Amino acid sequence: MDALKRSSKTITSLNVNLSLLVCFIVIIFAMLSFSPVFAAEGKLGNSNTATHQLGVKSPATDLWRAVRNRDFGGSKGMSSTSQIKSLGANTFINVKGQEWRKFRQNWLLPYGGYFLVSVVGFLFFLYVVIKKVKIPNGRSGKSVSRLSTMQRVSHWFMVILIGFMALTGLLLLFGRLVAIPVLGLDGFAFVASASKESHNVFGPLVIVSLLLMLIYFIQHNWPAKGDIKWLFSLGGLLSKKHLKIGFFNAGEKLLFWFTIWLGVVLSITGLLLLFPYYEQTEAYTQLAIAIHAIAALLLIAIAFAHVWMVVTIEGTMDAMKDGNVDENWAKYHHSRWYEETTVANKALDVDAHVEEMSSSESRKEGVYQ
Amino acid sequence: MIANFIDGPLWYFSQAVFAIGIIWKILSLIVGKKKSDLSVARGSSVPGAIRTIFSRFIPDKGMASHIKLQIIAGYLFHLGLFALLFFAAPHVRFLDENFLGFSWITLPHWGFIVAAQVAFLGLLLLFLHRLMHQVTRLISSTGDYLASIITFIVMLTGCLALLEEFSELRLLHRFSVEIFLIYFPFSSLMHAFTFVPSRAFTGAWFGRRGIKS
Repeated sequence: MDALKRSSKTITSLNVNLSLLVCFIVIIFAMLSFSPVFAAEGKLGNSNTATHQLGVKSPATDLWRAVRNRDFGGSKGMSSTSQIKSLGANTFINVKGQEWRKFRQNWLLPYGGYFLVSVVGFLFFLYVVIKKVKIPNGRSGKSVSRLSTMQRVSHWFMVILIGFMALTGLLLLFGRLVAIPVLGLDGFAFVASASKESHNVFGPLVIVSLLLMLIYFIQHNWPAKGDIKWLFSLGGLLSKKHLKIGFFNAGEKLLFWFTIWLGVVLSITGLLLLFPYYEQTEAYTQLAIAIHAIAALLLIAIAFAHVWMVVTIEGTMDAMKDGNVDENWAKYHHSRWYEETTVANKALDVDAHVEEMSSSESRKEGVYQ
Repeated sequence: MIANFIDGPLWYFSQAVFAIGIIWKILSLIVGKKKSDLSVARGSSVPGAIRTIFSRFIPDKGMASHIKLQIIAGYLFHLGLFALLFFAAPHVRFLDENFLGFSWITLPHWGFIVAAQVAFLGLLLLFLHRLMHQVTRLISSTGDYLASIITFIVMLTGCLALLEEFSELRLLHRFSVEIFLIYFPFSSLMHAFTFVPSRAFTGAWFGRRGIKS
């Protein structure tokens, strides 16, 4: 009952702070639209207008524009013949690279940046507003075994890899905007080189980590009774009844499947970028980079949300430290799993007791015979 | 200034510490006091020593099913590291120019990458297992973690400098190697040199008693 009262108090405080939340989001977007970093990036994409402002027209401009605009056989760019037989060797000027650059500078970087900053800001806001969700009735001092060694190893293996890939990937994506003002051009040159090389070396290991996660966690992440109810009640916030949850709740299952599928997308596009020798056109490579970047930003946002959940809900981190959780935590957050585990443990105890009794009986019989 | 120090005095100092440290450790093993075995020998100690040096590469049948991860990750890490250390083209070139005066066949670039990935996979899994498993955590010392972390940093800085285009990255790698060399003789990393005499000693002892192990 106490637990329910506490949760209803949390709901009330959330409703009160809903208006604050809306204000916060509006402020974040307003700040971002005036952000000098992204505004500067937007200007980079329109560098052509800067040359027009000089008022001097280069005589070669029209010639090269005419060359660039020639369209042979439906392909964009001027085609010719070349002794070199590699892919794209017959294209004299390929305008797709310029189009890709514009897409990267005018869309991918600014909106990717807005998205990531908004997510981090929103989560920080939630962290400040909600503070820590305590274990109802405090810690009991009794622990329940929740995760095996291999489950924790595979989880932390993925954390290290995703963290490293995110850091190096973000440096490659936003480094020119964020790192150059801090490190300078020379400093960023070797940081970018190091990021690229290590990103390529560690990339394929993400596939191994995905496989390990699938092997050790998939059994707990299939849809189960109560998942829909959990989702519709926003994790129990809108429900008056305490929801009975199994090993993972629907949110955790969504996190798992998003991580796996985004990981698969990142792995496939990453491998295409690592091995660009199999008759891939530039269009495919550019598409792979765009999908890779968008999937990575989504995965990073999800990872931040996961970290926020762990930091906010007391006792959650325990499972990933030594594999055990507090009994009160288990009763409150995963009551159905707790009941199943306790029943199973009791059954094991009874079996062991019966076995012990029967063996001692048979020993006695042996003695009397 | 820093570059000169890393390429000059620190490099020579770390090599000296490494060499003297290893010689001192191995000599202390050989010269150190040993209990004399007064029992009547039931077998020869030499075949026992040789057998044990190699038989320990194969995990014990009774243990294997319980330590699958350690076996797989252990082999991945050590084989990957061996390939990187002795067959990576920059390392062979470095040894040729600075120490040996001759070279040997090297890994292609893709081979270097695969060896690095295999070594990283093994090292990370072993490190996490050491940290996560209740028993290995209890029996591990700070030195064990430090040895793993320094080895990881050396490998990582090596990968960062893969393009060999930036002197800063090469210096970072060399600096990490120097720290590694200085730390090596005083740590559990010494097992790279002591595993053979250690196995031989145990095997000889068993052989003398007629135990096949």
